[in-house]
Amino acid sequence: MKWLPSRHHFALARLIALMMLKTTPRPAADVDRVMFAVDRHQSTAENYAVSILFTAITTCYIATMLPLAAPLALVSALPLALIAIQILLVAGGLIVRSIAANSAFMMLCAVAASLYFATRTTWVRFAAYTFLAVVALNAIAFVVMWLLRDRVRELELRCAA
Amino acid sequence: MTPIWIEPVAMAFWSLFFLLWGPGRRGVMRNLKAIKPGSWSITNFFRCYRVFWNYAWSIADTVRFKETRTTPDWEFTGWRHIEEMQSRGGAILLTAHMGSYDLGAHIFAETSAHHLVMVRAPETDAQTREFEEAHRAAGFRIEFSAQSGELALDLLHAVTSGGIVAIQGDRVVEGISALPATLFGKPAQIPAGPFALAMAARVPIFPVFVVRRGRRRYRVVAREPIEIVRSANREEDFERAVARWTGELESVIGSKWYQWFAFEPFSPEPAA
Repeated sequence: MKWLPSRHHFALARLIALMMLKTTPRPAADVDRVMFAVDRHQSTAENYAVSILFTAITTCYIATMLPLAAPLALVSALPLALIAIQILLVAGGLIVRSIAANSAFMMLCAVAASLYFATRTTWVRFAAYTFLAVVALNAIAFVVMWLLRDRVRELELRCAA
Repeated sequence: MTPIWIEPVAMAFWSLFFLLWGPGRRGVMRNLKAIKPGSWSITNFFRCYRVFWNYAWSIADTVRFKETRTTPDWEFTGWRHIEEMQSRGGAILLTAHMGSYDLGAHIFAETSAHHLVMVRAPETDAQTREFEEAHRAAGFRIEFSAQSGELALDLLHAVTSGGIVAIQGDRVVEGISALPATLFGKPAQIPAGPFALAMAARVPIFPVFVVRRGRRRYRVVAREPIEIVRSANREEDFERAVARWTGELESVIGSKWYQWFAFEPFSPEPAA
């Protein structure tokens, strides 16, 4: 149940969930009952992974703009990245009062920044390549999940029954 | 309007608020010193952040549930006690400031056949009160502990007519009658209301705790019910029940200290 694709947001995570669906998660020994929510934003691993990736690339992009040596720049850039993300969140929220639109807006900002930093000749291009590669993998996963949509629905129904 | 996948970043940022709220931070650190005797202040400082971090998540989960009905995953331990409480009706659910009291009460009210009355400290902010009122679940009533006179009769009526009264029994606010207790070896006070109500209505007290296990994941821990047996010595009856309750509190808080949202020192005595 934990690995239902419906409990994940991004196509890549849904594809991984589909592959993991056959493994039956066992609740802890002292747990008598469980009640699972079917919600596409339920996955802790997915949410933390995306959050960490987003924070990491923001930190890298800010670090590369600081007039400091790379290790020191990265340390200094982390708190700045957290503040920059908050500013981006509020700015996006002020333009469109919708979580989905704000989410898309932030991702577009990250993709645009990554495309820009991918053209640089410094180490930051590797961070940009990583993010763009994840975006590309997600796009491929989206196509795969779309092709498998009937099979996924059938498997999920079997789990819920 | 935060994208859900960015929630952990937002939470990490805003829970740094703990640096600005000195009295709350000191209260948690003093409690931690009592829960973990001999612990270092520097370690407790970081533990304190963990408490605030969990608190921030609990509030976020509660608001998200009330706004969008986003339900977390739930695990239950001591299910037979929950079943017993559900089947008998007329009971007192005694809990602590852990996990999310509001979220637990809403889930309980939505899945229970019995009417739930939740007793809590009065909400001073009018807008928050309005929000709470507008978003409460069906079969669920909130009473504020400051209205002590009429409240006692209302709660007695609720329990004797098969309802379940949920009360937080780990902290006493001003104007509430209290019973002396010992918690983690320190003198403390706990609310007298639930024990007096249980004795008057002749119903058991079910210790139930809601513990946050992770992002959108909670556990309901239900323990053996506490029966208050009436004898000629009322004080001793209370003492026994209070000792059982503080024993349960110590066992849960001792292992889940990062979930205890008590921002004031529970004991007037400074921790060693």
